[in-house]
Amino acid sequence: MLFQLGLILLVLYLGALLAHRVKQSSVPVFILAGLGLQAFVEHSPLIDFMAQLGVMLLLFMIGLEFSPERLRHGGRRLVLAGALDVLINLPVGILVGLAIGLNLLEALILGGAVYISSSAIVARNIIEFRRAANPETEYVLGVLVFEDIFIALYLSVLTGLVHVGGLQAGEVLLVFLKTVGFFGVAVLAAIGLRAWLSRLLAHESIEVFLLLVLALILLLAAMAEWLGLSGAVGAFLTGFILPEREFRERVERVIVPFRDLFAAIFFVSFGLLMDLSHVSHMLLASFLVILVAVWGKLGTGWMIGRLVRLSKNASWRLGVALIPRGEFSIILAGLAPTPSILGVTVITVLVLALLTPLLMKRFH
Amino acid sequence: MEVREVELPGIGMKFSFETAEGETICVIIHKTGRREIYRFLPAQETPESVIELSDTEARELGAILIGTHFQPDVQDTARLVMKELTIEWLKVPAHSPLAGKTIQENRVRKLTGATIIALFGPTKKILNPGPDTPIDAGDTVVVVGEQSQIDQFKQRFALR
Repeated sequence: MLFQLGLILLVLYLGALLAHRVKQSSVPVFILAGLGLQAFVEHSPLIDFMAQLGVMLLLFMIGLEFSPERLRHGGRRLVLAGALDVLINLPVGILVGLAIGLNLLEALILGGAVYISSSAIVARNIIEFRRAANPETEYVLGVLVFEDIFIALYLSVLTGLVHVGGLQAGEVLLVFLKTVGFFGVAVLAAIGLRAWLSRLLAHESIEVFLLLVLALILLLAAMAEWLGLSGAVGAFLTGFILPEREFRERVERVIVPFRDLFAAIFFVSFGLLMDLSHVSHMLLASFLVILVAVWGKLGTGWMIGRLVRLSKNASWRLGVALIPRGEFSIILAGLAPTPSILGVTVITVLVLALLTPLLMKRFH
Repeated sequence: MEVREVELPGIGMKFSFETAEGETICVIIHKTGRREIYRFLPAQETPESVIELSDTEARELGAILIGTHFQPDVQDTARLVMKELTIEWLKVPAHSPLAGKTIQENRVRKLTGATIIALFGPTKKILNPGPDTPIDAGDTVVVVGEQSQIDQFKQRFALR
């Protein structure tokens, strides 16, 4: 086991080095690394557990970006942009899922994966291509904020549905209510416990801080799972509850290294799990999904851009910026009982990650 | 001058303003501490040029721009806005009630709440002037206070 883990980390090191060199997100590279490692490493419960920790820490860091105050500051125009985005891309994603022969539950999963842009890759591209000051960038980032909140809810509901294994009206309603209830309690906790948590976290010892934060993440994740929801959602809400601004720097120093490590294992584990013998069957489906994923976001960007009176060029750039898919799509696809959804999603994430920089250069 | 402030979630903060020539200057402060200064020509939406600075470089440049090392002659009006306080450099014209009287006679703090912390003239440079310090037309006063107090100060004493 030690040897296998060491080998994984060594390959990941090379992958990260390569990703840095070619200025790409490391996510697709790590998945490819997992594919390459299939011959040497077996997927074990230990890897699976570390991968789960990776998802939780990823979601925790995303949740940390949100706070009750920030949601209030959202602004109507951004909500409008976000709503337009979900109303276009989620349905087309579900439709393409049905078109390639999935059942409704699977199509809902694929729809989510097609809908959700990757905040990490998008933000990275914006910095890389020096788009931070552009007029469309505020809208791009606003849409991402909306997406992240929406997908946390969506993920939670879908996990519940996969768990009960069906789409009967009663169960859908129950899962939905549980999710809303859990989010509601978390929001109240965020407002009510802030001051108290703030004092506990402000302890001078970094060790105390680390242990408290990790304990909270795991306990809320456990609570979410106990409710039949996704543990990742519990982690997301932990991030939401914690007062981020005061502890930003501490979190970066203490939690981010854990996230980087376990998230890398999470992505590698997808590569390890992918069944290569079915790739040829997935290519046509992937092609369709990629087409929809690209044009959905281009159309969305165009509509939002024109609605808020950006120029034509800026509207195209808005859409292009939103194209990359990433960690959330893969987390969602991982829920699906059929492996082909995961395969299609991974291929889509890879292709879009490579395609977007080209399109960004094109629409300068 | 109006500075627009927008949060860029996941990236940092964006501050932008338009210069008298119609160019837009846009400063991005990344969460990592990196700064970028973008210059947009009038009615252009892609930047003409970009300056990239580390945290240290940005602070040094900021100090230079604010006049720490060299104060130009044109200091009739300048403004420094901090979180709670504003410091403003104001030239006193001949028609201002301030001119020709002492600080006490004008009851500056009582009437406006703002405090004069320095006084410059062609031949004088007084830091922390006392209540009996006379102010002459043509002097520059440096005044500190909350924005509302400064506004009141400017209005009452006919300063720009």
